[in-house]
Amino acid sequence: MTLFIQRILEKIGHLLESGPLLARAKPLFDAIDSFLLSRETVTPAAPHIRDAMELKRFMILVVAAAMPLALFSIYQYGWRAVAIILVSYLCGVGAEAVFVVARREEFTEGAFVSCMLYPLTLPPTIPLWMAGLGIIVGIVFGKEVFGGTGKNIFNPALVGRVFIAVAFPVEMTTRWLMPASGGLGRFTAYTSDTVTGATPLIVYKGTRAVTPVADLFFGNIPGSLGEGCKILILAAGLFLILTRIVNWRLPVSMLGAVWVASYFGSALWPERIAPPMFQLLSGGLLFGAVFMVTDPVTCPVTRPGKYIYGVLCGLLTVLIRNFSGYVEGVMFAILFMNIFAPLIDETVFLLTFREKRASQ
Amino acid sequence: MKRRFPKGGYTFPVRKKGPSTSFITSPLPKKVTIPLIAAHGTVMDLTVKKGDAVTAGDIIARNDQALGPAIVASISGVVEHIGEIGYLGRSVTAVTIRSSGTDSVRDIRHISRHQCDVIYISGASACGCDGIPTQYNSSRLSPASVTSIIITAIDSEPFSVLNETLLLENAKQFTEGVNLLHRLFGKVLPVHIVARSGHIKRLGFTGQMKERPWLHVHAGTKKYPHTLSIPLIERAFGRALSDKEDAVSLGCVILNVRDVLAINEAVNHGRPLIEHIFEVTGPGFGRSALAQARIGTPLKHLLPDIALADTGMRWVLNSVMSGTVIDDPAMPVTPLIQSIICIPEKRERELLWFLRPGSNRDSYSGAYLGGFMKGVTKDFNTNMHGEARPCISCGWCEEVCPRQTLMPHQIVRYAEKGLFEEAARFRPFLCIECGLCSYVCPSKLPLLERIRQCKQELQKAETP
Repeated sequence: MTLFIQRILEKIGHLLESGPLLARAKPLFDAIDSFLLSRETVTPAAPHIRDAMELKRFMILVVAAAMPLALFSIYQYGWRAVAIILVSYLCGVGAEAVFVVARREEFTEGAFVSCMLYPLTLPPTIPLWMAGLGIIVGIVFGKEVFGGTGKNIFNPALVGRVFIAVAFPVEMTTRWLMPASGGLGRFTAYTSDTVTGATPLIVYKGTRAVTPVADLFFGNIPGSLGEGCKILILAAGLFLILTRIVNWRLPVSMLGAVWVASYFGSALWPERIAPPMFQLLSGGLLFGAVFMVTDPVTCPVTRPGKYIYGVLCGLLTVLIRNFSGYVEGVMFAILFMNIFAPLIDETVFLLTFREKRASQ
Repeated sequence: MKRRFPKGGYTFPVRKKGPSTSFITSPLPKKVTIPLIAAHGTVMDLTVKKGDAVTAGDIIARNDQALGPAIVASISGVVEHIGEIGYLGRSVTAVTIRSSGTDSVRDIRHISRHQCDVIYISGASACGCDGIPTQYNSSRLSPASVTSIIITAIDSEPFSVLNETLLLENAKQFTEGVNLLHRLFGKVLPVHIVARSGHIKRLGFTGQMKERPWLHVHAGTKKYPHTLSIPLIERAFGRALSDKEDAVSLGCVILNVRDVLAINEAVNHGRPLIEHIFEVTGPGFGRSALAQARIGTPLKHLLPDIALADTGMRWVLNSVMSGTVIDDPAMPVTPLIQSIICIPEKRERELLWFLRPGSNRDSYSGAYLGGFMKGVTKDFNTNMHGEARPCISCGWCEEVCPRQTLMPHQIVRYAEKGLFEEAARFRPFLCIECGLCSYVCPSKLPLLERIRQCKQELQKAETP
């Protein structure tokens, strides 16, 4: 089987070399080729052996960690969730492919993660074209204009999410669905017509009523596709930390900051700041702390920087949620802090290597 | 909480066999070719000429002015040829001796009353990372500047078994050697031994420490590269070293178990360094074995398959993490050989490789089942396991790095753009070139190569 595929791929490879126009598709062919079959490349020099981890595995594990959330979103909101995810993949990977062909660079696997995480932050009623537009903007303006994977300042999934949140506020903030509960849920339905206008954070903003913790925890509340079941998000976080894909310092410092700020804040200013457990379990905080803050490219690279970044993301979230006109603040907080990640790192470098500078 | 030094490191999941490891020996060779190779490329002065008769243990080359050990004949016979050969990437003079058939060895015990003299004359001053200091300029250290002796009795290199095997099989001789070392340089020196806690207990080092106040035994781990000289000093001294400090600047003589045994043989038993013990190991070899041969014996006499084309194997010298490839089957045995590792070359492509559970794969991450299935033998080969990708700043290289504050990813970020001055800010000279950063990198970046290049460029810029 492997040999058969290898021969076919070799033939297509030769075919692509036959004309200049076909040669443009080489990066896409290489992406498919290396996806199907491992490379024959051996180590050129020391170290003569290499770790089995590669970026494809790295990215696919993040997608795998988010997969239970996607399945749960089908249970809660019907098969339309799959349609949204598919549209996201189609548009996002398509946008990446266009840039790869235009730039004649290698296709990198980061897009697969962005295209999985982005739809999970969307409301289940979002028009499909809108979802597609968001991820295109995210991939193009969040990543490709900066030079592609590894060079981007902003988290592409969040850029897309913020773009449509700002461009289409009505669709993004007022049309939520009550999730199904019990039995097969909406595994047998495409979607639901029972539109509700209020997520727990919206309810709190209006009436100061706090949703019961159990409902928040098990996802029995309206919200974005992937933010429902907190157990699944926590399990995904644990899985990613154990596989070292996620640096534990980031989610722990962000959640810790939110807890501390809302614990003392709600005690001092109860009419303005929501209690800590409600803050932790409502909205996209847990999802953001596990999947968004932890994006290695856009967070600081230094250890102290990671703590500072996480804490500031958490504080900013509490600030935006409780003091601004916006109901949810996680995505704005993370995107805002993305800007400061290089500055935080630079400050840490200056402090760490100051002895060297002094001696010079 | 007290911090443990050195930081980082990685324990390779390789099941190593104990002292029952097999032994490879060769009969007395008919001819040996001894390269006059010394550390730092010193040119040695020949003390013999073509046609001279020599006895095993006679000095055939020395240079008391330049840095380097004395080189002794390893068999008794006649000097047949003196000429240039390629050795470890450079051209060196080599002396070929044809055996006379007799196995007489010169007893050097009574040549001098000074033990340092005996060490030099026996050729044993070639032992250790920087050579053993004697009054004959055999090390970058002088006998007066030695402040401590540090001995590693652990094998942290993947597949390596040499130190631990020799320690367990020669415990008595090792203790004799240690007793000798602490007063070797005319003063009582602290001797630090870094060993596995199990071996410390088994060999009664704790009891010995009570009787000998100069002896300090530290429990070490099998994490690579914690037995290289800088991490070893950090373990012994319990602190991180700066980029300006190394074994020479701190006056440390770094030895392993084999070095201690060779010194003991020379001083206490009068046997010159004519024979050399090294290990042959690696997944391509199938087992771990100790090899013992006269210096100058061609490797192919011991290992008929070594460096042969089309065997699908790669033979690596000394370290699979930082060593070079052996491409000459006739390469002679010298004290520079610590181990020879054989790894299978893997060029076969596999279907959906990255999606498989991978119970036989090794990874620093917990991304494969292999990380949780300790009993399954891991498949080590030369495949890259992935394509080169841009750095995603995962930080693994920094986590495994044994040096405090070293950030390989930051150095490489600037070095690959040619911004070496900017990279210098991240102290590339802290790097001990263990290669662990390149090993763990999921983006398959040549970090070790780039840092080496950065150091070279910075050194070039500094020299007027």
